Amino acid sequence: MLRHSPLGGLSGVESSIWESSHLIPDAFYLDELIAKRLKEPVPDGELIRFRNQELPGLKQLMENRISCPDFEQQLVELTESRMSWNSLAYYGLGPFSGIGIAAGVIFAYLLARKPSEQELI
Amino acid sequence: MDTEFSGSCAWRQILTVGACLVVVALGLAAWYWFKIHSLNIWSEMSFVFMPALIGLAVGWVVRRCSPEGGFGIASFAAALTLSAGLVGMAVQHKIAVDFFLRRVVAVVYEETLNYAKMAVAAADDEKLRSILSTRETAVIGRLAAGVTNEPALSYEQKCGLIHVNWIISRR
Repeated sequence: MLRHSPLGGLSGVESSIWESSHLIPDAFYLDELIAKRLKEPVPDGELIRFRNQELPGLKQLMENRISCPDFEQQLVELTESRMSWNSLAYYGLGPFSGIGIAAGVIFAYLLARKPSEQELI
Repeated sequence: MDTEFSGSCAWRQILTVGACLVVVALGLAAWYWFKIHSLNIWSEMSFVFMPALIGLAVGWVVRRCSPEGGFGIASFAAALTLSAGLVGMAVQHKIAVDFFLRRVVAVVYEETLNYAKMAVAAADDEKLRSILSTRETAVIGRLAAGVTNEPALSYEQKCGLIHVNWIISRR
């Protein structure tokens, strides 16, 4: 049930990363899509595309022309550049953090207001 | 007399606001420090009690600096605590996301490198076809080639993002 709803079953941290790295519309969970596509036969055109488009990058990686720290840093920066602060605040909030913030607001208000107002209550 | 009294009140309120801002800044700094230093113990630890502590500190400071209180200053304290809580939660979440994302990206590199070793070593079309039809990592390239809604991204960037998304989906 949760697997078929967007972001159901993912934690806040996972949801933030999922949202910023989501490129394929209508596919919420790529593991299911990839397992399905793996069963499909590989056409000849795919081999040509692989040799022209994908193989040069893989060779660069193999020959260490793209170092591990560079690869990781570029991907982290790219993923984080697609995250907004609104989204971070949204996924960072949960029921307990909401209670924490509400408690803080109430404490601040009750302590800061006029002492005579408190006495009336 | 009244002018002197209102002038002193205004100064006191300005002092109170300044003190509240300092307290909130210190609270947020402490929150940041706790989060950074707890990452290696439990990366998803959430300091949900920090807004309550900040609220208590702000309320205490207002009570000390401006004992006459009032709806205005109390509302300011509440609004400041609310803003600090939201900002703190977002920053805390950002730190956790960055920490977790670096671990995910390390897996992306490892899996891509393993796949590259196999694919580059494939001598003929049959061997390559067999790799493309048995390795899940190979499907990422096919999916990236079909993504047309992100023209600003290069093919390698699309592959990287799809791989990150796939690792999150596998969890």
